[in-house]
Amino acid sequence: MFGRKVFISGATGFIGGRIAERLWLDCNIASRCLVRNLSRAARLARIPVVMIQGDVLNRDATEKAVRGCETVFHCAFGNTDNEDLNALITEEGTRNVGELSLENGVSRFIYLSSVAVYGPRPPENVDEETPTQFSEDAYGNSKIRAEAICEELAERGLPVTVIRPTVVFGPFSPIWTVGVIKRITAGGWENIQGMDGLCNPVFIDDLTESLFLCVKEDQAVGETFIISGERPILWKEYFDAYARTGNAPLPKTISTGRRMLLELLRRPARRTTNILRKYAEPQLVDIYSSMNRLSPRLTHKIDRMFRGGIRDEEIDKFSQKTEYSIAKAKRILGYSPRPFNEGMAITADWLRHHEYI
Amino acid sequence: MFDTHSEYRDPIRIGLVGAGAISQQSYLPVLERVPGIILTSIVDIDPEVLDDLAKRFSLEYLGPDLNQCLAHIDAAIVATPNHLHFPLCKTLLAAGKDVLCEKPITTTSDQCRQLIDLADACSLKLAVSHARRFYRATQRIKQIIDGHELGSLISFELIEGTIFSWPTVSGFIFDREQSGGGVLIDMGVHLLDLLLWWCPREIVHLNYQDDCLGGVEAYSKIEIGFSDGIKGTVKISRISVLRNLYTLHFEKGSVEWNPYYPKTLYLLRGHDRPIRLITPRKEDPMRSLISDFIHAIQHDHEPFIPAQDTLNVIQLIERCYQTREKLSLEWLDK
Repeated sequence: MFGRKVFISGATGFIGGRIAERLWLDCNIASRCLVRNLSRAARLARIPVVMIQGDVLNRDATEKAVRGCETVFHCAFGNTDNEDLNALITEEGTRNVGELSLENGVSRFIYLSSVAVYGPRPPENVDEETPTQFSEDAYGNSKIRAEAICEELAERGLPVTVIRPTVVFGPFSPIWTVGVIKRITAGGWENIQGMDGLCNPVFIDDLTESLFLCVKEDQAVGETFIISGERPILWKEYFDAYARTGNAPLPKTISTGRRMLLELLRRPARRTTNILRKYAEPQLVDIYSSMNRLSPRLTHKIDRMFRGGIRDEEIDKFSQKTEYSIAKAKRILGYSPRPFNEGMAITADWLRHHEYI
Repeated sequence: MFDTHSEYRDPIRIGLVGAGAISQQSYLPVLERVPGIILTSIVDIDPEVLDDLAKRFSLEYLGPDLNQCLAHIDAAIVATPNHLHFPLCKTLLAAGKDVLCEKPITTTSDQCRQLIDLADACSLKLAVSHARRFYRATQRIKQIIDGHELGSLISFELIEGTIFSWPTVSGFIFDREQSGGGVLIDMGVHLLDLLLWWCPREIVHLNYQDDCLGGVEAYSKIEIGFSDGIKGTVKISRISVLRNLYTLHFEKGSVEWNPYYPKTLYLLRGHDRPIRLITPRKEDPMRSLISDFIHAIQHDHEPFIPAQDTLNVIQLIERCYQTREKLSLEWLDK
């Protein structure tokens, strides 16, 4: 199905890494992986892969990696502190990988985009026909432009499929699993009255399965698919699931007024910490470490003060009632994601193993 | 531990073999500060690295050929990819040079034994960079165990895990042929060296599991039982942030040490508040390690870490890999 050789860009990342693992575990395929930063390859190195040092902006390294491949999973994107560089990696990187894939005659090119292409305030019902929306979100804008590059290349004959995943959770998910459990166990989540937005979670293995279905299914060529879980849940339910998993107290529901008051106290505390961290991080870490051993309750309270609460910019996100449709993926690919709780149970095993809980 | 006396004799001429990440971060900054030595040579095969070093150091030899460097050195530090430790150390010892080798000394116990024998036969020093033994905290733990200050040691848990971020230049660390293994032979050397130093006893029970799926492991778990009933677990990870705590349980209390905040050591007794066993102060174990090596050469005594101890560690690692079981990783297969 995948052909003789498979190329993955972004294989040291969360999704690319899982694609490489599943290819090895399920199909005995040792992928060819372009690795920008070898320091990040510890997870990937557990399986047999061919690592080629370089990044998607380096055409020679990319050519070397893509040569002879029949399937390409392009997952790399700009993830640095520099927005201009991020745009370059996401857009020109896609052009490089796409053009070289075209020149090398690959039979499938799967591009990992995002539902961020619909902007930060999408409508309530979104499917693949919903227009994409440029906004103040640089990441989403860059993904729109990268998709346009894929479209150009498709017109020149590249067999492209674009995937737009929603909130991807599961083992190694840096934001929606590790980030959430850390926040929850630090007491850093509050339900705000009226903040009843929908979360569209998709378990990592359902996403990888959908990518493999795109390779298998001829009709997927030239198509775009939204990939989400079985159904949306409330963000409150999503965070509560992590709280239960981590045996943390369920987050309290507080009024908007109380939240604003707390935020007034937290904001200067966070600002002060940021300044202190800038000038005396090692000393602060030493002090914090000693305090944590001698008075863990006190450090937990400090954690809550500095890391807790919902940020202003998050209220909007967690209030949206957007539902992403997976009808097209079900119809064309035969995509069938598992229930949220099943994915969550596997995630809990992983979190325990890695001592996050 | 030791400090060298520069007036004792002529400075020892040191060569650094391998100028990758470990040399740039750990050895070069320290070599400039240790008295009694002079860095005369650096050997590396990367022309870019050599160019950069040429701007920073004035050396008698800077180039890719170890043989050419030999005439300019009395002793060498070997800090190359693991699989090169054995041939390079062998060449250096055979040429009459004392050697301090980065850990792991070799990737097999047979090679390690050969180096020890060669060093003995030539009356040369062979030291290994098990630098954690130079922390005051780890030495205090040794003292507590040997002196039965808290009664007998009953059990231990050595847990260390962090997300790998070492700026590896060559990436050899992820190639089993070059590294000899994964996290066990990398970070694991430190944990097992301390454990075997603290508990120099026969191992009667060993169960080793890791998450290797055909590449190199990133997470290892070892259950160890010693002949006198002391037992415990060692967990090491380079893909997760674990508790990072070494806990040793004695009859009259427990001792806790965090290898990432190594200046402190805590004693726990029942529900009492933890007590600091040492006062934190600035430490530089790499400097102590190199000073000890130089002192051993100058005064002709065995280095603080005997080469035989490093052989014990390599033998244990070998035993682990030979009896390896796959960790149960259900999320990988579901």
